[in-house]
Amino acid sequence: MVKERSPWLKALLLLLLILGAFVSIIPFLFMVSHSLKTIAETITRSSAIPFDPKFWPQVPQWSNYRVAWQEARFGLYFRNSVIITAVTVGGVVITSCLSAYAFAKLRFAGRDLIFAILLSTLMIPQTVLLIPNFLIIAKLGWIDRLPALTVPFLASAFHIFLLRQFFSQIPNELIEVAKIDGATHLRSLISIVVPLSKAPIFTVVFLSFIYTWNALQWPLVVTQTPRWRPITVGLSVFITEAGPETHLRMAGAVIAVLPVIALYFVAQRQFTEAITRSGLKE
Amino acid sequence: MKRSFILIAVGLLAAALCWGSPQGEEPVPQDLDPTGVEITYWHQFTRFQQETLEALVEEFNNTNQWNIKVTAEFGGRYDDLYNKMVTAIAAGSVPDLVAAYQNEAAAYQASGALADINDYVDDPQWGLGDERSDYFEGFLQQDVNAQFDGARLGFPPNRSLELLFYNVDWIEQMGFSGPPSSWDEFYQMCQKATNPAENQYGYAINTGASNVFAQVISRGGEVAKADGSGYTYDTRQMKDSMAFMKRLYDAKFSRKIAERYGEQNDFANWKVLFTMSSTAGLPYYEGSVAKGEQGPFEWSVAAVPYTTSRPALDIYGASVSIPKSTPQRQLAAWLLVKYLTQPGPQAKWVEATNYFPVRKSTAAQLGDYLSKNPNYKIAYDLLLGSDAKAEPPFAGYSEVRDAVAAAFNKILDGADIDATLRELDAEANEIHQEAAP
Repeated sequence: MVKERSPWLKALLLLLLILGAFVSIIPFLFMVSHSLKTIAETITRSSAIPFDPKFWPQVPQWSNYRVAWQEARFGLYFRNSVIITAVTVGGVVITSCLSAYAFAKLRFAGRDLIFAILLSTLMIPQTVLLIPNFLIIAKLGWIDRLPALTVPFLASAFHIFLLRQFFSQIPNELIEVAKIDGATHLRSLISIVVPLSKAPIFTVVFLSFIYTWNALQWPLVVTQTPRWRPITVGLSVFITEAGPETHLRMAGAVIAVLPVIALYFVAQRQFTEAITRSGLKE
Repeated sequence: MKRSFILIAVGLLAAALCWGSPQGEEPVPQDLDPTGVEITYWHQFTRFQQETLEALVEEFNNTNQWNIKVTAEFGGRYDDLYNKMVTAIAAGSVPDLVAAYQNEAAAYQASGALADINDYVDDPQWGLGDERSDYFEGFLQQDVNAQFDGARLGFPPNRSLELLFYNVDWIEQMGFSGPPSSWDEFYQMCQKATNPAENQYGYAINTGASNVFAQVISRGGEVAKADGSGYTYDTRQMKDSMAFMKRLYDAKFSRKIAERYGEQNDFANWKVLFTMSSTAGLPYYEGSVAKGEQGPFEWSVAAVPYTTSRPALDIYGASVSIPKSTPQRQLAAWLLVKYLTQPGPQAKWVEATNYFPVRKSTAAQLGDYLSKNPNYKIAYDLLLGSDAKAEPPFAGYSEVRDAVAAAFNKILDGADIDATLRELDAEANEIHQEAAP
């Protein structure tokens, strides 16, 4: 019989959770409030406490968003980010599903060794890969072109590992029954495994979306013109050498983060379910 | 650590650098013709600075007699541009002109990637000739690197100074007639300005390496050996600087600033009497003061207090470097540099960016800019009457700067000054040895 928690303990836990949530959301509120201030207000009316009237603008400056959009070529960069992210996320999902299925359900020589080598690549810092990847891209003639921003990231050891763990939990009997009915492995993957793995696949989508959407260093290295630069480059133009343009920077940041937030709300249930089932931390 | 990784990778891949011929190690070939050459320039400027630069580049494209065409590209902020350049060096796809701080240029030169601009400066046909005397010599010397046998790894398109920013009205209210010229005066003014009840204090501490350098040279010291063999952070002047800051901090007449540009906000809101900052920040201070809590007030700039016979000013700024390519492309890049440092373009650049020009005759082309910007004029006059000093241009100096800032913070937090500076000196020289060519 489960002992019921005392009401006082429940109230205390609830209070702690509310405080934690409040503290977590303050930076986001700060970003939004500063995005609506005038530059003068960012200097004279600045507070870290949302209950302080100084935290909020006196008159919301919605024009900051228009200025940020125009000044930083956000229209072009936003479009580029959408295309780059869509291609990359799509590629990651496809390659991760295929690879994870192979590692989880197929038996072939060297499978475990190959999987171990794949996992070991997770130990390599991204900075070390910068130059070798760039050399390959340069040799292929992809500098300042879309493939440079997408192809190197169409496969991910981490996401393969993530999906492989979930696919391993799916009973092999389901695959064998399908095989008896004449299904190929690809058919089994598409018709059986994927529908049962929506939560982890959504997780892969969400994590790869964030990673790709927030990338700055690699896009700057492989692009030479604004043609394929993403929205993160647009944000960097508001970082000046000797003074702040906080209101515009925050407006740009809000624009840049909105798609990520939207995706999270769409996939929140699946994301939470995937994390809970896997036991992995975010 | 990240930069060390990259430097090691660049060094290993230096053998793959058969791409570019070592043209820069030879004098400029005679009868070289840069006609019709197309080159690229990677820069770090954004928004109105980028617009101004692109307009100047377009002007060069339309007016140069060799029909050289330049494409100016934003390569990211300094750190991003550095990563981009290191990657480009390894891949053999470098631009023809790139913005680089002196220590970054030294890092590039560790793999032999840059041309020695001395060859162009001194060339009888393409060089500066009689115009050299019009350049601020201190600016020109900044890019000459003893680590590489005196090679000139960059050329300055502009410069900034580290100065003392002060609230004139506040100083007068306290009964002083002007800014402090000595560190004792500075201490007294900070003491008098500090009022915990009003949340006011004397000085917003900047623990950055440039600020440390400014304090050391103001006391007649240096932080590096002239022959390029290493650093000297365990000196009397360095100890005096740290001891002074510690005394000021312990007395609560100064505070550390956690928020980026927080010292500007405090200055604008009449919370702090002094800050030390770059002249590039003059327009931002002007904008902040105009919108401060207590309304606009009179403020100005002055030399950092000094014990030397003349003020010693820390001058800094990114230069432009010419990566090795073909003789024609390198010459075309040099011709662009010469154009951008002509008084006319320099005047336009000053008006758009508030940087300092590298040529004295630019002042005559500024029209009423100096009268409309009195604090800029004060800074400019200071430049003319001071000893200009530059921070070490050594490879690895970025890591040393981080170590200096960490040591400064440790001292403020209570660490023994002598021991901390001995450790800093050892660490800096270890970094220097690791990064040495």
